Amino acid sequence: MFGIKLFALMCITFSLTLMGALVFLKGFLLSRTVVEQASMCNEDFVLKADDHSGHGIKGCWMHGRFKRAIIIVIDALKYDFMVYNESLHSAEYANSPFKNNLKVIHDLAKRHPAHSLAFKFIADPPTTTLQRLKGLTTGSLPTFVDAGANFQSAEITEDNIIDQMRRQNKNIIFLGDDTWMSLFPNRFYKHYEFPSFDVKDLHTVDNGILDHFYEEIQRPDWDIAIAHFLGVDHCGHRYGPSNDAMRNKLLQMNDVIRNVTHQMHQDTILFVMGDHGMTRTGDHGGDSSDELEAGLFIYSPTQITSSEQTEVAAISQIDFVPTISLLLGLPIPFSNLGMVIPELFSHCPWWDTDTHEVRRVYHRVKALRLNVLQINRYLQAYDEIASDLPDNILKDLQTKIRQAEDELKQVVPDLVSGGHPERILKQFQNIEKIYKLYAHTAKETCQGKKTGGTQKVVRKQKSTKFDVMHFVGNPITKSGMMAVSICLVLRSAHMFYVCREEQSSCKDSFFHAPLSTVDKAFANQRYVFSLVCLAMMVYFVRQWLKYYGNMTGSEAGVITMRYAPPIAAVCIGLYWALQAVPESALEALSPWQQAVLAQAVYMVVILALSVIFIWPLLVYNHPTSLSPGAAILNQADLTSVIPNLYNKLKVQLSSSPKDQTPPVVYGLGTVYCASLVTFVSLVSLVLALLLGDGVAPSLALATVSLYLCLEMYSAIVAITHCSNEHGSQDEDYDTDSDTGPLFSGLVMLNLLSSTFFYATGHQATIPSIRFESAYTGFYGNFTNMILPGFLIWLNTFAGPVFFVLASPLLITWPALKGVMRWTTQDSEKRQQQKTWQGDFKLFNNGIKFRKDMFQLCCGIITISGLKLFSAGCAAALHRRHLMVWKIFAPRLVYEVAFFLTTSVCVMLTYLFILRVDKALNKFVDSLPSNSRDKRV
Amino acid sequence: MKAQEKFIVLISVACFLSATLICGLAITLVINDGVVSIVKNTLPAIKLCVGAICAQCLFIWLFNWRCRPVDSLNKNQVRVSSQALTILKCIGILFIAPFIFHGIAVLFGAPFFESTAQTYHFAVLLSSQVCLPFLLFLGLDLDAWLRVFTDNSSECIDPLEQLVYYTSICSLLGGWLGAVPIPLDWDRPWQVWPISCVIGALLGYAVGLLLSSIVIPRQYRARHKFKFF
Repeated sequence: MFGIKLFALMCITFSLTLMGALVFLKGFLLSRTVVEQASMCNEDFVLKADDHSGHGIKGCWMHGRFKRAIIIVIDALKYDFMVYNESLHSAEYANSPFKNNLKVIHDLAKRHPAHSLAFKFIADPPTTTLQRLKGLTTGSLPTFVDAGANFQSAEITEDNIIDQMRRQNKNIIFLGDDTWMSLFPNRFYKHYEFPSFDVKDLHTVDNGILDHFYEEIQRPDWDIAIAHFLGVDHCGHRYGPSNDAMRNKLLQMNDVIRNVTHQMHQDTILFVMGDHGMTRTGDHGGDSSDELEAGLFIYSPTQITSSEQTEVAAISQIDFVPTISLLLGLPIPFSNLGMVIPELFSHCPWWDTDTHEVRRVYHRVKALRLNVLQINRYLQAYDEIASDLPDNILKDLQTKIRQAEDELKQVVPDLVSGGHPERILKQFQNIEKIYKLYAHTAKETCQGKKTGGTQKVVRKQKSTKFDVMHFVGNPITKSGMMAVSICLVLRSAHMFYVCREEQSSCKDSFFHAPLSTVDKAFANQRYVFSLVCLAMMVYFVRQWLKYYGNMTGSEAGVITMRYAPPIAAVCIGLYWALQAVPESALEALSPWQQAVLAQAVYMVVILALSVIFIWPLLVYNHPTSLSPGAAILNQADLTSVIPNLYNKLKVQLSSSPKDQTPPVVYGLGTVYCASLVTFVSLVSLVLALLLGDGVAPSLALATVSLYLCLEMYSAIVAITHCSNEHGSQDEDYDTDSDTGPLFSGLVMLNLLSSTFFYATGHQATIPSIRFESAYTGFYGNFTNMILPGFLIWLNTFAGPVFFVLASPLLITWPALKGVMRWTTQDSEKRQQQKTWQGDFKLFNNGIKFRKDMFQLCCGIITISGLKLFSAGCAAALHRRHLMVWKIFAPRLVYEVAFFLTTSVCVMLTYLFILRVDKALNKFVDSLPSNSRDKRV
Repeated sequence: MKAQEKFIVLISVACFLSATLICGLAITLVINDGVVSIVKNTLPAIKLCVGAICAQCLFIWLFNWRCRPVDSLNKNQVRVSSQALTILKCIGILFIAPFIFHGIAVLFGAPFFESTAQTYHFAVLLSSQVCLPFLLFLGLDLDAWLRVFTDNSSECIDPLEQLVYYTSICSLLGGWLGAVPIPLDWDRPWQVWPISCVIGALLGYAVGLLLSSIVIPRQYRARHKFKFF
């Protein structure tokens, strides 16, 4: 009961800390306040003169220029993919699969220069599809917190372009990514949605769209057609941009665009856009320029711009919303912050813009004016609800608008009377400039990026590693070899580090590329290396258990430990091999066949874990009828003779000499350690599976370093005991000497777990989350997001989970007096080893053991809480820093997650130890009565 | 003033002077834009540092040899025949030591494949700071080595043992701490392996000399009720 009470205390500590952290996070990661207002068709600032009734299409704020629009969203269409370079050699073409594939864009621009426009389409970070879709439809900027919600996309309540279309009775048909359906349920006239979450599937969505797309756009019953293709993005995630699969995908998109442009009518406009770009490895989510630069291509069979486009400009993605609104004659959504694309408004077929420069500018100014007035109204409404906009900037913006309105009032009568075209032109250009400036300032203000210095601190992980080194490097004279080997292990863990995006010169090691994309010669070597590491992990644990006699007998736990890890390891190996198969061959297999091996691993490990939890003891009570000598003779395996002997001696000593033959118990000396090692090694198999074949060897390194560090720690504990109390340290657990876990041990464990957070290929940034790990063993769409979230979580925090689950070894391991201890002690002291009890002696003083465990768990929670506190301080200090959303905020979020993981794992392992203790209690009770007096 | 006391005072002053000189050298190397700039000519600059350290050690050794009153501790009475062998052994150790330091530097995160020459120069500097004083002042006396490193330094009676202890510990620590600024993005030219570590080791050595210049007379005073300081 004492243990449970302590556990409750631990829970309270944990939840208090967590609550504090969450309160801080809530304040720090301010979410944008949503203004739930919608723009109306009749607004007071709209001049009636804008509506060119009589020609064109009647619109709300401005006359509609087009009746219909086709919007093709190609997920992750980077700007580079769109560029066509005529001078590219065929050899170069063959080498870079993502270049020169969208020829149709180039052809159209060449044939009809005034009918098409191409832009760099700059996304706002975070570059995840859900965020981008929100930006592309509402015209507002995303916030940091929204990025986490990608798995649970929710309906958009803010005013957006889709709702505006519906309000003007436009029929929308939609095909593609089902994220749209969760964002805009019940808005579409017709919809064909396909699951988006399975990144391994390159073709289902695209082929599904193409089955209906051409047919649908030939019908007369739609006004807006939206198609969202996912193949390019999935291809990037799976193979990266430099793979032949990418060429095929882009060529397919090329055909789509060509076919659509052939079928378009005169009153239709086409937008082809990417929602974000991709990095060199094909991922996205962050804010490097590779991820931000998407492409946009606009085309119509009629003329859309007055002059040929000379150079490709960069526009923001939110500029799409006001542009398409005014082109279709719709009101601009209420919370839009984008600015209309001026090139598209300099030509109006009904208004002689081709001949008059003044009219071109005036047309542009009209569109800009509506746009700016809308932004102004939004800023005012926003300022009323939330007061985080700086007042002086707002005032500044107001005066700008008033100035522009005044000038406009002067100029328009001049325009009607037709005097001084140069002066009018100049004034218009001036007004245009003011409007553009206004739109930019408004956007920047809302982004809140105007303040902050430029100092940033990158590559945090280096210092952690050095700290570990420093700790290990304590001058313990006889453990030099051990220190060197720990250094060696930690240094080689450096191979598995990934680069931050800020580290431009840094290159990821080839352990991080998927096996199917690695060069054939290396692929086999890497695969074999991973297999060997995995086998070593299993073998190492097995040998250790065997050495201490925990693998004898036929108890349920022992049987499990004998068979479960090898079976699981073989399944993992086969699963990795399957991942290396090229995509074409993989598609011949059905989904369940691809997933079954990984699922088998899950099943085996879950089964084994539950067995271990029900029968946690790995001990074997030898039948007492045999004499001790016979017991040894029966044991063919020599390695288990040592523990056998020790245990026999131990029980002999503890029982009074006049009694009958004492019980012989195998593996009693490592009863706690063995259960824990079993537990951790089973969990580590799942972690290895999730980490994938590339990074899994770092788990083997983690195992080795854990072993070495524990040995080292035991030596330190032994030395501390020796210097504290001279001599009789073997009885220290019975006498209530105050030796809990040493502080250095706690720090060591924490440093190791954060080192291996980095060494398992992670960084404290959002783009470095390995989303693909959610698909190990699962294929297709998930009904809920708990399971994939859990898998991604385990993958991200594999290092901390591994080390924290093993943390009670800090208490039980020194009691073993293993290799280190023997070398540090003099030969005469070996005599005392006859009374070797191992960690069974911890059992003798249950209260003390629980207290120590509690101290250990609280220590670990406290240290990670301190880290969290420092991260919070750093974030608070740098809240106006330029890099706050790139470095400090992600760091803080990661630290909270780290703290959560650590605490939960500590509590789990504490409960497990309690369970072992209880089972041991029962076991000792079942022994013959003569040995019972050892127990307190 | 007794000869012993005079010797203590002199050695303390010598330590202080050489500390300022080495500190000045480190600062010059960083600030200077010309030939001795460590940023422009890294390897020659490190060679210069090694030379300076060796000269300083030899100076202290010569000083010790010439000025030390013989009556204080006459344990250094060695026969000439075995001296040649001792010198050979010392040279052997000096030859091997840089490789060991090189390995340690790599284990602590220095690049393995690139800039091997720089790493090796750094290792030579460290061995000239750590091993050379050991060999010069303590010889091949293993007991003295262990006594200096494992036992508390306060138990060292010999002023030179203290000197060796402080300089070696401080220069190792300085070299390690010198790596701290490398990952920061201040965009300074000296934030490159091994420049900041070399500077750190030099400054550490200077700090060690300074510390020993303070500690040696204090220790002597505590032991002998010497009133000079």
